[in-house]
Amino acid sequence: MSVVAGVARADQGRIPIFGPVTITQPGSYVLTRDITVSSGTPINIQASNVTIDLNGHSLTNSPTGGRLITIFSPSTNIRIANGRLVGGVRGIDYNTSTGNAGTSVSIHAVDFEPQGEIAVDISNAISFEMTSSSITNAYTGVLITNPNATTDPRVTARLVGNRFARITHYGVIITGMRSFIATDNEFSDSGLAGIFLVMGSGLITRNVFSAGVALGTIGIDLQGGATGLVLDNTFKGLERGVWAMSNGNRIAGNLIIGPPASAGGSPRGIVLGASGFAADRNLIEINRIDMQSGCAIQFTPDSHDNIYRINTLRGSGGLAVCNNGTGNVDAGGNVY
Amino acid sequence: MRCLLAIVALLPLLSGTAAADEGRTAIFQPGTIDRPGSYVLNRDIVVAGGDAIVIRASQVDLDLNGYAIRSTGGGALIQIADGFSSIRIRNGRLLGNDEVVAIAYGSSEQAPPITLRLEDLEVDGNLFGVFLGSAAVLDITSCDILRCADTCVLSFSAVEPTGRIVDSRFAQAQYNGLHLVQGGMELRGNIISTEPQSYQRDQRVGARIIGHGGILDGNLVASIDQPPDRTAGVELFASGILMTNNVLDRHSTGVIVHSNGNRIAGNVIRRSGFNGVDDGNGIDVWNLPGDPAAGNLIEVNLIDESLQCALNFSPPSADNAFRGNMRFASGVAPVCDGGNGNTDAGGNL
Repeated sequence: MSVVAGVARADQGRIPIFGPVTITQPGSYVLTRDITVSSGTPINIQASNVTIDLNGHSLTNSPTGGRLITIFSPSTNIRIANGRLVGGVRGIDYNTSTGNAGTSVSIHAVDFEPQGEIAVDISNAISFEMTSSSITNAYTGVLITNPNATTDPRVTARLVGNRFARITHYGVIITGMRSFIATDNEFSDSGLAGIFLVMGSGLITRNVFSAGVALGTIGIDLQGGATGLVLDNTFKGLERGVWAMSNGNRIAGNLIIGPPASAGGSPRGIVLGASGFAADRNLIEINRIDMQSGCAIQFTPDSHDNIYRINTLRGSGGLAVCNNGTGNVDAGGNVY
Repeated sequence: MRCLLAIVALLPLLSGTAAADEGRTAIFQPGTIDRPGSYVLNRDIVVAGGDAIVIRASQVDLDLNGYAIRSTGGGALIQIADGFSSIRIRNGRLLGNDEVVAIAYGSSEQAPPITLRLEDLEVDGNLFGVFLGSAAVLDITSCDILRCADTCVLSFSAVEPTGRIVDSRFAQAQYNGLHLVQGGMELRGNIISTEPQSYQRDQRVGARIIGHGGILDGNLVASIDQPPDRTAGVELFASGILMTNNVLDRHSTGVIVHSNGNRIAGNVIRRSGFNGVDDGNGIDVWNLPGDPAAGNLIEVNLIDESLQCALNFSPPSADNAFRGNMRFASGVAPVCDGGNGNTDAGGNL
């Protein structure tokens, strides 16, 4: 094949990659050995409809090296699976320097560790999917952005069955996606927040958020009109379990265990609103919140007309409910 | 000699195939699969029209191997002939245009119903992503079916088939995202979106469920503001559907219930009625001729920012119960009850 340097036709027609390459043709590619570089990017993608099977192998870059896989605009429909991305400043990066066309990227069963900046950065995603993968020791795990959340219904993101550990900044930042599902993920030791969702509709269920030896910060941070369903998640040892600065969320069925009192700080289970960020008409129900200090549920002065019911708040060392908002209603069934 | 005859018998079943490793048969150009077996694509296939791959056998496993089948004309990318079943297609791309059906089966509802399993497919830019004239079992897992000029998955059947649609995305459907005559169907963890154009059709729906029984759980269904066409997140024509913990955002109407005995619980339904038309109900229990829309239980839903009513019971819907729902910011009223015997069972706020 002459389409790229370092490739030749493999069995089953897949094109092997055995050295640094620039992919310029659609097709199905398979890594046939580990590739290590000390600078630059081992795989550049300059074509759409590309599948790369890492085939259990690794791409490795020096800690201060470049990316491991760069997708150049306007390439789209990219699938990357089944291997390891080690080192570098970024694992997978969508580079929009030649334009700002949206892209669709799917990642399956890829382990990232460690990246100095962002493990996965897709700056104008039409769709993004990441399943059964792990990110360990990065500044930010996944950064997905799109400016067209309200006008483009394709703009969606799914994260299912992933693990995010020891992330300095945010585990996942999703901003501007029309629809977002995060299910069955595990977040541990995220420095600022596990999931930071801005704009769009979200469905965040059955995830586990935990802090290790240090006091973690926020499990789920909803801002900028991001709304949806936060259901059946577990939070352990975080300074904030859920912080909603948006309207119309249903936060239900979650288990929130606060940090030990000796950790200090001012932990909260669920916080509604912040200065200048309203949180109105949210429904908080059927949660089990056990805070050894601080408030189980806090309504800030910028929260209005929220409802809480049937929550079990017993065991909170501080106050069960700290209500500084207006029109927030205890609809009954709460256990203190 | 006997061995040689056996090998010859296994050799190419269609023009453009050859034996690949792992005993799978390689496909490298358009053609027909006419024997059971395991097939693997080993390059992209592009056709200018007609059917790219025709399957005339049962018990066929087709691995697209990360490659694409593309058409620049009409026809089907994969056409399964009537009477063949137990087909599995996975791991690749099906790229068409507004005249192409990506995967097609069944010349009519009288065709023998098929069992079809689809996994890890990207199906982009077709008239229909999946069009089944007659289905028995339909499983769709981890697929991405988008930019459907009509409907992403359209499944008919003279029987009521079953199946699962999970962890998939159906995006930018111009008509319906899913149109299913499936009974006992499970829809879980999907993202479904519609993008209505002004086709002057009837209601465009994220998921239109016509089969009886089934579960819709944990799906996210969204549309966009694009008047004047009406949209709905979910439309239930058949009874016995358990619809729980879904998010439905920005439709003309969030949920339309035409049938009996459904439980609709724990859903978040927001911003209904902002498509420039006058529907604007969060949940609309709305009978059709011969189907009274009775005996439904609607509970513990959060219904926010409905232009008209959070819950609307149109006459003569009857004997439905609603309780524990939170209904905020409804333009007309929290509950508009024009039916008979619909009961506020308490706990609504």
